Amino acid sequence: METNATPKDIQRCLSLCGPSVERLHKKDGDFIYDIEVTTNRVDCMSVYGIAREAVAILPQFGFQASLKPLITTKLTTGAISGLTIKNDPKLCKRILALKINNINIEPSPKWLFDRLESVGIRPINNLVDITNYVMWEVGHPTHVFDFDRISTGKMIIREAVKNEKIMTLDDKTYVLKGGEVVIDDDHGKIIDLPSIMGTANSVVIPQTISALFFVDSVESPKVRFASMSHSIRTQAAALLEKNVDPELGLTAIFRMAKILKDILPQSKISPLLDIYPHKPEINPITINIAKFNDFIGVNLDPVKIINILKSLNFQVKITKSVLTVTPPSYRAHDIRIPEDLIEEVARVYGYHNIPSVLITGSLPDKPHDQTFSWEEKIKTSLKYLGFTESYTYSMVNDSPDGLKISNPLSSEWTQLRTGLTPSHLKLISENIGKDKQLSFFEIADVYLPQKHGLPIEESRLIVSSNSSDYYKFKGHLETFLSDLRIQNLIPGIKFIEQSFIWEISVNQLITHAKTVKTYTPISKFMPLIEDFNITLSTNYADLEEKIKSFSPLISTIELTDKFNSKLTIRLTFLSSDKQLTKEDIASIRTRIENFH
Amino acid sequence: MKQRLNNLKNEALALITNTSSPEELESLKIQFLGKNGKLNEFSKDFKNLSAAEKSEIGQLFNEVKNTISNAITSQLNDHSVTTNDTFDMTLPGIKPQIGHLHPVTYAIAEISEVFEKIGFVRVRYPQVDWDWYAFGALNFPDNHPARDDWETFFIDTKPDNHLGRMLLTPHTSNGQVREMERVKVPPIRMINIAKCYRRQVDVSHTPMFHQFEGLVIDKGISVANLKGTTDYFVKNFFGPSRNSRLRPYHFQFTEPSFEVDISCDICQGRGCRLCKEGWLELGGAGMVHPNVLRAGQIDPEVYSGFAFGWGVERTYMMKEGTKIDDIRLLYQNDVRFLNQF
Repeated sequence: METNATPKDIQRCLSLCGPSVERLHKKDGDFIYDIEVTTNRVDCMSVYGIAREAVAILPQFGFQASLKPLITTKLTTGAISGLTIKNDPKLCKRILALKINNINIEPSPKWLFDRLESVGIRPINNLVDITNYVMWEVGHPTHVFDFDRISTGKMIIREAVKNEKIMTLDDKTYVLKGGEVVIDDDHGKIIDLPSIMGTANSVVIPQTISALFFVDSVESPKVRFASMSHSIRTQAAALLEKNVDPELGLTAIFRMAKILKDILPQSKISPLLDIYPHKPEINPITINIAKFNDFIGVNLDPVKIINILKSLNFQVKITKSVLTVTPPSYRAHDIRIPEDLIEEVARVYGYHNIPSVLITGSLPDKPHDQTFSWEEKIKTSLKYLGFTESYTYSMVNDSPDGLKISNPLSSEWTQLRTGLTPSHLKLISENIGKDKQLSFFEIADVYLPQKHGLPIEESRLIVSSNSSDYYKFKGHLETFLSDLRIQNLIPGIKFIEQSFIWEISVNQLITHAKTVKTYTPISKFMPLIEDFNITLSTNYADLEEKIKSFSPLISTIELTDKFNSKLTIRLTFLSSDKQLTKEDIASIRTRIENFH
Repeated sequence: MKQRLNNLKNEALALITNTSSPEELESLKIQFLGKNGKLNEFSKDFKNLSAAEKSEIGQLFNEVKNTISNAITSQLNDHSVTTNDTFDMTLPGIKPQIGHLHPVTYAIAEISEVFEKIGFVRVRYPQVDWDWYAFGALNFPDNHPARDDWETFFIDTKPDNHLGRMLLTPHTSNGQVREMERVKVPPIRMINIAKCYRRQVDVSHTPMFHQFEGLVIDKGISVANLKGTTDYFVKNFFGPSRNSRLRPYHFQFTEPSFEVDISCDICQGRGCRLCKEGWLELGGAGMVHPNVLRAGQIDPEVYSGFAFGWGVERTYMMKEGTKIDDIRLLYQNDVRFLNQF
């Protein structure tokens, strides 16, 4: 690419509109770009791919940029003598092959050696280096065989059978699972794992005098299958998994031929063998030109929109207000719907040029279920009563009735919990000694498995404490309940492992709550207050209930003193109709005094 | 004479009531009642009086002397406690003990508040969901890496014939199509804040975490609206001097897709070692993919929308300069950590 933009300019502009240039390294007077390419843009995984982007983007910022052509030589197509290739179109989309004679295996010239090294690729020898250089320059995987090591002169593309063995060029042995695409020499010997890695038995060696440049495009699911199953993660596999354009394969082999001729002028090149059974059609996309501005929220001139598309090598036909756009072959895989075209225009125009407009329009309805405000009330109340909120993991390993995770990350997290208590007992025990008293609360879901379908995710409140004072804990919960105007609910407190625990579903709490407190008119009359000494025979709750039932004039009962089973209770008598006198309550008093 | 005595009395009383210091009162006592004090000086003039005058003035003299003496005594008694060493205002007060809310609760409340102010509806969708809502409806292809066993937690149970495998949702995006099904006809302005799960643990990842997902669908929603909303959030949550920007990215369920950045507050956009050229990554966003709208039974020819999904913990940790440098602290629940909030 020719441009008047500096490397820093290129970094800035590209990152805003296209591939993200993460870092710029300065080395020996030149610059190395560290670029992060998104998974949908395999066409950018090469120097030329980035240049194509830059040439469309830089002019938007006022820079000049033009692409230098890649293919500058001619090759004749035809058969290669001494070589028969039998392809299976279901397994491999395209095969390109070029035989080269009269060669010497030597270290690469300095320019090639240095270029590869500067981007972290280890130079090996001139032929291998050409394949690596072109792969990174053009963006399609390439390979080179020692022609004479293909002793039969035959290459059959087939699927591997289970338990076949291969040794790759890095001297690792693999036992194949069956289904991987391999090249067979027609005598049952596997001589390549195409699109992934070469095998030791066919690669170029120092004595090689005749070689075969080979560019193949194996079907991407097959490549992914072989690569992932054996963990052979090569750049070639990465490119083909993402459906790199077979047309780039053609560019690649032309480049290999050119560079070879430059390095070894005495080399002889055969005709180019091109097996391409099914060249795919690229489907054009139609879009109403108004849609660009509507969707992006700008007011671009139609000419500008069309120019941006053309700068990306898109073919554009206009009929009235409808565009028919055909992407280049290397974008056919990711440009398929009108929105893809809109993205191209928007990003090259520049997202930074789009205005910032808040949404207007009508507001949506609220859902019926609104537990959020209740959660806030519950949390605030418990906070001010002295409890500390925790967030414990939903995943546990002590909930055998819970849903099982089939691929857990750790043996501690194998099930989804059906209760919060075990998590809080663990929480308390892990915090012993870190504070004088531990009092926690949490609102979280438990996951109750159902016979069919998703589990019920029930929201629960848990309050836990390692205090030893039961009445103090109970008192806090009673204040909490009255603060939230929750009536007729007695907290079921459990004592487990030296801790007090109360767990309840949030829904249950809410159904007992009143959102509005009703006003009771203040009585015009004075209450009568009297203390009674009673011996407790059952429990206090029963006693209180019984006494309350004696008369509606009893407005409050308060426990003021207790010594073993001897209680002092203070009763308040009040009437809204008349001022009570001691005579009015005499009969009630007698009943209480005679109560057992 | 009488006049002079009364004036003396008034002068003494005025001085006495104006002071509470015992030292000053003592010196006033000497000044007025002492051997060489003002009263005794006064009495030197008595020899010039007649007998009758002497008796009258004498009585007044004694009254004045007593009044002054009593005033001094009473002033001393009233203020005997206000000496400096018995009251120190700087001692700590007696503080009632209150508890603490978890930082994630504060984060969710703040985030929720910002969006509710511009008409977003707060919702919460299942954490245990079907593959369809988490991936299928969101335009993920069958063999996408996020769908394999390495990144997402799956539940060991029979899959559903239509909805696929049961899993723990790795993102709040499962709420998108669910919300479309609930509301049916736009406008939709959803803010879904819920727990998510991913198979990854390190200094910036916990297996359980929270995300907040925004979804807006209506007629005429554009990229400019997405920009407007992210700008609004950034300014209200992080501060009015902060800016946001969009960069190209790729997600399966949006087209176009964006990475949202926020300007760095440490270097104000100049570039420093903590940020990337003056910007920090906030999270992903994009215009809702037409396939996703269709999965939610909404016609992409009539409606358009945008969505964004960001980490609650991450966003909060970026805001406060809270110096929480390890996300795992949030889920260890050490009281010494929780008590700081």
